[in-house]
Amino acid sequence: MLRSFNSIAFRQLRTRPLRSVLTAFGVMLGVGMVFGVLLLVGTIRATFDELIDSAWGKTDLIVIGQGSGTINEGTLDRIKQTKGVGEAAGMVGGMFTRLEPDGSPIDGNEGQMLIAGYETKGYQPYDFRLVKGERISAGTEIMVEQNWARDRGYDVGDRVRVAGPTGRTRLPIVGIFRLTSSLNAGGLGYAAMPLAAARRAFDQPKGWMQISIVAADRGDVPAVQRRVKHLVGSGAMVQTPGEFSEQVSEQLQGLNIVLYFFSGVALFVGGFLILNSFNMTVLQRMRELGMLRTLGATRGMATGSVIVEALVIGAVGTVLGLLLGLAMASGLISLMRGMDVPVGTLHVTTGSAVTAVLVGMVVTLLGAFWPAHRAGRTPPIRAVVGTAQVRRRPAKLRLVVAAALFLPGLWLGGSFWFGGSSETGGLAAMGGIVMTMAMFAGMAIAAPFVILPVIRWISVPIRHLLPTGGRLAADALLSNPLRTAATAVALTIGLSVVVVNSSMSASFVGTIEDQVDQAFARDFTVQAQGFTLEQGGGPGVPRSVQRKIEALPEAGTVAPVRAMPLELPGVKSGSNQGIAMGVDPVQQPKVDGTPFKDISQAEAYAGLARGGVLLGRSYASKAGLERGDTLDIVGPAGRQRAEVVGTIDAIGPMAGMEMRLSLATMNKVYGSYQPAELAVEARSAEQRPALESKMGALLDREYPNLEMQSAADAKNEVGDEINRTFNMFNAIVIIAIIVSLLGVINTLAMSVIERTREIGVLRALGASRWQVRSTMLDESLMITIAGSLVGLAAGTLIGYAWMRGVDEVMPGMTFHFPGPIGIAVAVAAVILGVIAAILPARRASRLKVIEALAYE
Amino acid sequence: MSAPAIETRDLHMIYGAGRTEVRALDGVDLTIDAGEMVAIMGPSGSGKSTLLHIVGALESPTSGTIAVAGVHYEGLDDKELTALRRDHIGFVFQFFNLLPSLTAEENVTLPAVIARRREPAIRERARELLERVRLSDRVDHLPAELSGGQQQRVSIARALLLSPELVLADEPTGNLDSRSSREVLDVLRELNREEGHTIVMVTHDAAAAATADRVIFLRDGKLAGEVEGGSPRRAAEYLASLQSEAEHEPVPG
Ligand SMILES: Nc1ncnc2c1ncn2[C@@H]1O[C@H](COP(=O)(O)OP(=O)(O)O)[C@@H](O)[C@H]1O
Ligand SMILES: [Mg+2]
Repeated sequence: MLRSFNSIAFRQLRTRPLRSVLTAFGVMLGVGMVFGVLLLVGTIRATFDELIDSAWGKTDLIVIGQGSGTINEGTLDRIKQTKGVGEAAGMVGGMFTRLEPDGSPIDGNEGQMLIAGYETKGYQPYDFRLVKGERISAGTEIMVEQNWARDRGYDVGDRVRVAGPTGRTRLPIVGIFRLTSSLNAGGLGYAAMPLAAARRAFDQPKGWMQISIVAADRGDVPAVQRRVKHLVGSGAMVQTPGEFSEQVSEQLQGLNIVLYFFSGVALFVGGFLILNSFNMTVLQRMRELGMLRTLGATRGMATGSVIVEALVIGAVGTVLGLLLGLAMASGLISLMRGMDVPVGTLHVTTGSAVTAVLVGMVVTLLGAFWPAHRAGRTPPIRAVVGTAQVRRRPAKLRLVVAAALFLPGLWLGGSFWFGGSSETGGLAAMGGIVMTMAMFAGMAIAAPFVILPVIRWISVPIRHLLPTGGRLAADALLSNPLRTAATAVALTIGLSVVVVNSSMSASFVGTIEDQVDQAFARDFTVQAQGFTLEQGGGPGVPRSVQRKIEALPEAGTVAPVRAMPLELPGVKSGSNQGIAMGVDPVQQPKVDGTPFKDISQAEAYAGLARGGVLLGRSYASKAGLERGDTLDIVGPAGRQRAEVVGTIDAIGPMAGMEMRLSLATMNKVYGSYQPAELAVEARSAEQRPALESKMGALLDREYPNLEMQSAADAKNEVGDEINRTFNMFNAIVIIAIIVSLLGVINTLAMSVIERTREIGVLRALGASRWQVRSTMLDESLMITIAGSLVGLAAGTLIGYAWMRGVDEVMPGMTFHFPGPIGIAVAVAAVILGVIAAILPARRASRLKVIEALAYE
Repeated sequence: MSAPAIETRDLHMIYGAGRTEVRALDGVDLTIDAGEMVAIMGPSGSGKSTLLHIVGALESPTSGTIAVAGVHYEGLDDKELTALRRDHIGFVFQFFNLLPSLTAEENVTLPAVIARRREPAIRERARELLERVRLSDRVDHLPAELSGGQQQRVSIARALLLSPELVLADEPTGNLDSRSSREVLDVLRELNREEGHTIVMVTHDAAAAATADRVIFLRDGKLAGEVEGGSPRRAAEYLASLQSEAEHEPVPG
């Protein structure tokens, strides 16, 4: 006996177990997607915050020199005497290369050690927590980071063989400290050494790389920050650890922004999957609701039963979804850590769980209301008899709405996500998420118009190859456009996210490689291991190296390049972080083919020799400077009124935030420092191998912390760097693809339920099991092919359009189609989609004819 | 003389076991000649649908033999039964069971699609049948755009597309008002006369039954007599007598 009206809802859940399970599965996928992505996003974010926090948890302010290690020795004492400063300590940094037992340097990040030298008595600049051995106190001894040491088998008492700025040595480990629970910096090792020994080992007798400050009164930090800023002038940046961490993530290619992007996509796809699961059974539900209405149930009662059912399904699906999200995120994170991607352990926040739960429950309720709403609008008896309209041709208005949602995101997304976005902060980020979600919603709404023609088109060969199954399948798909589109669109969206992501990385890599070919018209680059130009080249290349290479008979051109990160003068909007590059106007053109806008190379370098500057395109546009304008540059050593000679017609370092001047001008304004790199060209192509081996021998023997790169190495390094960044996002993309595929299975399975009676009719009319099964498989084949093709096309379109947006803020970027990846994923999706359809198809073909006919 | 259209011997159909055992058919011997139009009547639950399903090769009996046009079902596997359905039998259901997403004409041609027959004559045949069931002006309509009677006439046209020898209809007018019922029955009768299909129709409506040549009665899974067609009153009285004998049986269904 039924005890109450609402118990009908529970009865429904039980008598339609498969429908309940599949709907809950849809909710689970949606919630899992949202939660999994938010967890990954949170973890990536937390990794950086945690690193900053564990190094500077007690520190209120950090002073970092512009350029390389250039805070004056006396600045520390003056800071200590500044009002409001409690304590301050300075730090010097040195990069060392570990050596193999045979004395050869270990290549890449794996061989690098960053050693911080600081005073071991009193206040210390870092919060390193000792876990084993003892703290460094005096002499040449080091303390190393726990995870790094464990992975490389170092323990207290061991000696690490290294090469540094002053030659080779063995550094004894006296202690092991903990930095964060989890960080894996991709092989780079962190260590600390007492100040006096460090100054000797690093060859840095004077000056500081960083100064850490603790305010006397924590509430007083902003005031102290202002005073210290005033004190150090433009030669250094004064930041709180929080600001510093912001800046670090900004440098990681707008990390936050990209993570927001994925969160937005996850929210959309998750919600969409849930809605879809309900939409698939809308007819069946309408019939049930209509029946209740004919029996005299009020609209409210009918809705009530729907709510109860949705709450149960939503709750079960949400709980499972949280588990799924957790499993996906932790799996991917251990995968990423295994691949040396710098990411910490899984970081679970209540915020992400709450968001996922809200999405699950709210969308589930909405999804359940939809059939109730439609049933409410159709006369009950029509709902019961099932003659309510099914095959509505999608209305023209739909297309207009779709376009209105799709186009803004398509048009502005690029400049939003990759452009000046980092300056505009949280509100704009929200706007961007909304715009992107709207764009995908537009895609979903427009899907019937796009996917149906594609299906019609691919059904031609399929009808020929598979006369019966193919024809039945094509007819079934074409005759219910909305259902077909809804099934395919999950895959379309998933795939387009993949294509957008990989076309972005392909374009970055491709464009930069093209430009590296131009800019690196040289045979070799000599630089300090472990530092990039953007970091000013670290300790740089001693002048003696330049002299010794010039003395080699095979050497043709040796061009020194100085690099110095700084706040560029005259920037009117957005970040003014940039880099000054000092070059030799005579040698540089021989090793650097970078083109300039409107002027020849000869004119450009002649202008530099006269004391002028060449500007990167982003810098020129942000500062509103053109050829012929003048620019005042001011530095610790002097000032100069410089003529703008022209703009650089390539992206270059710091995404075009570059000011190029002659070495002479640079020394005059910013003081002299050794070059960040040497560009070396052999006298002739035949002499290149000889030059390479002689230079290699010279560096190995006398300068073990320097490395030599060929132009091809440089290209690879740039490519690797970009790919590493995008790989982090690919983990998120994998979630999108898995979830979309599961979504396709789910919608197919639900579509089998909805069509149980139709399948019974087919069987009664003499369709064999095999025909029914092949019909379902053909349907899936066509849906996944169409979904993939449209996804590839849409992703390419979005990638292309967004690239244009990037081009506005980061000139010179051109679109590169991610051929292999996109096509591989599409083919995999089709294959998996068909495999996925096997279960629903089996179920369809095994239905008992009589039962199927009696199915309501 | 050719074999009878349908011949069953000692047909039994038992659902469930033990306490819940139901003898839906309990020894049915039935012979129907080719070209006959026969109505089956009986109280609700008397086994009418079960009999039709077995004859239509949708279900296999627990025991007993059945032959349609001389072909015995015993020993045929699912594939062969499917082919038999496809090539020799047409179905008309109480709930029309048209595919909601196909137009009237598409629904009618569905059996040809299933049988992989694509000759142009099929389309002509479909048009012709739709004309016969008086729906030439509704060819491109979807089921949802048709009345119940019209939908049922589409399903009759569908059942007849490949000119099966046998047409089985389970309460074809059960969901229709009297005027629509009349139209559907007229169409069935006409087709039986003109094309010579054997038609077996389950109904609880005496007026409908009277259109048939013969009315067979079923009660508790057994044959319970028959009357000649033509007179609704005769059929109704016979049915009533059956029901008064078995007072435990509820309303006719
Ligand atoms: N699949 C089944 N399982 C169990 N009992 C069934 C099944 N199908 C029919 N029955 C029972 O068999 C008897 C005859 O059913 P049916 O042939 O549908 O009767 P009707 O004459 O009303 O069409 C009924 O008592 C019914 O409950
Ligand atoms: Mg019946």
